[in-house]
Amino acid sequence: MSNMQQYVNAFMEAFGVEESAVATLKYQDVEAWDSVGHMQMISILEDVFDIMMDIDDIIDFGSFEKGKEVLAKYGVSV
Amino acid sequence: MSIALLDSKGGSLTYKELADFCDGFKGEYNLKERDFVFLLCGNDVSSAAFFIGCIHNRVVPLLLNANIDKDMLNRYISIYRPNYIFMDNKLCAESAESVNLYKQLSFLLPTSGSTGGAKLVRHSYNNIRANAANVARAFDIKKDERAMLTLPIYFTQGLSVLCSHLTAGASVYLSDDALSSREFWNSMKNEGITSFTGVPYSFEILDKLRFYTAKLPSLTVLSQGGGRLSAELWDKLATFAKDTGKRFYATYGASETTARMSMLPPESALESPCSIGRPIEPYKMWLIDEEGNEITETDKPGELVFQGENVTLGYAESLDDLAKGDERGGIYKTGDIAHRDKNGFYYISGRLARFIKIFGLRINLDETERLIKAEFGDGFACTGNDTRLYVCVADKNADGKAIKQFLQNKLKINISAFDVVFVEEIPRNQYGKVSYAKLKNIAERGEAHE
Repeated sequence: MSNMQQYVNAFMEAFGVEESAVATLKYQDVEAWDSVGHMQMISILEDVFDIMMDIDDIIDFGSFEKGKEVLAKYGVSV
Repeated sequence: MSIALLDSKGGSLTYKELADFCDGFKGEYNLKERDFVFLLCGNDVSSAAFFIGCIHNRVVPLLLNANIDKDMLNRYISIYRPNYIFMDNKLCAESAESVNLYKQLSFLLPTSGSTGGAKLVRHSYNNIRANAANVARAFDIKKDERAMLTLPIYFTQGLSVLCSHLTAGASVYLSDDALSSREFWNSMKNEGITSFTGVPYSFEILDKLRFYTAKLPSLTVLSQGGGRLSAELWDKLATFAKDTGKRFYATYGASETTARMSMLPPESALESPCSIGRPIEPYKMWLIDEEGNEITETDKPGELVFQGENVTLGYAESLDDLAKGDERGGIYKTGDIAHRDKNGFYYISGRLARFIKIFGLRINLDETERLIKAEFGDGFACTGNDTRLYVCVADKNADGKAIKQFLQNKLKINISAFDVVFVEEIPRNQYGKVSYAKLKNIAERGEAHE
């Protein structure tokens, strides 16, 4: 599976959204992306890509787009 | 001027301003003693100040979540007929009929932030005074401290942080910001916060955020209550506190006791993992066996019983109940199973009643079951543990996704807490009553169903 597909899947799994909704998704756009959902998504991504993010990066991971930049810092290109 | 209250929206009140607000409170809102008000609160200065104003002026508030479900609010209104509702910093008139309130009734809290029950906890003026004073002393709260308060003030633990700090002359920073938000961490860093109080789930979030590396030089106290931390997280927090010269307080409390009952001294945190410590002075705690006899041996489990001036008057389930006096006489049977070690420290090992706690929220499984049945019909039974709520169903055509969505909407708890589990049949005893012990076993082994 490509990095992109795994990235998309993490959003679908954490927030229960369709694939088509993922690309424009931002924090609190859907009810499931609250602080609980946020930590869920971070856990999935850390597992899938075998990384450990810093507090500032976890906090700033506010959208699907922004997340790509954050992951790039950890050598994961999606 | 010393600051009493601040919030994340820029609000603040000094002690002088708060005192003036209390003095002018009845005139400002055209309220009189023993008026009954629903206080729909957020974690902000205006909600906190309104609460303090009520207490000082013998106006009786019921504290509710400002984001309460409309149906639920209407249910509370139809049962308890308040004279006013305070929301969005405005007071709206409701029922003109005066309510017969017990003379020592100071305020009311809902028993559960989430499930459908409209049962309330009745607090006296002495309860709030005793809790605030005893907690302030036990935690050695100093005037120059500033507490971060993210726990809602309609939760007993959040309200206890508020009242104990005000009693001590310290300040309280109220925030509705999520623990994973940039705004929250900016406040932690830039507002001179000296203490953080959370439930186990708050600390799970802090742990996942790896807050151990965040630069928080003013933070000196971590205080935990509202359920049991995992042994692993306990050890991390206690070690972190020791290494960085902070105090880690594990506490135990309940709505029925105006919050805190016991506390483990920070210096014992590493040696006594997952203990709830000893009763806060001058309270008493003991254990009883099934016949109600006191257990004096160490390490022997029994039901935990508590005695103190913070034990509330009792519950209310109807308008008439608000006139009731003290039904407990200062003693509260917690419904928790505990044992005591040789140092006199208590440890909770289980619960008698059908409650679970997820993300720090107390969920009544029977109430949840009733909600689901009212919406989706019979054939459901709920069980759970402190990480998941299981909805068990025997009907293969049940829409698991719809049920989970419904629960998220109704309980205001993230959807990831729920599992819908298919069972061959819902296990029952010979009298036809659901066997919840069996059901829990089945559910925990079962596969989640979408």
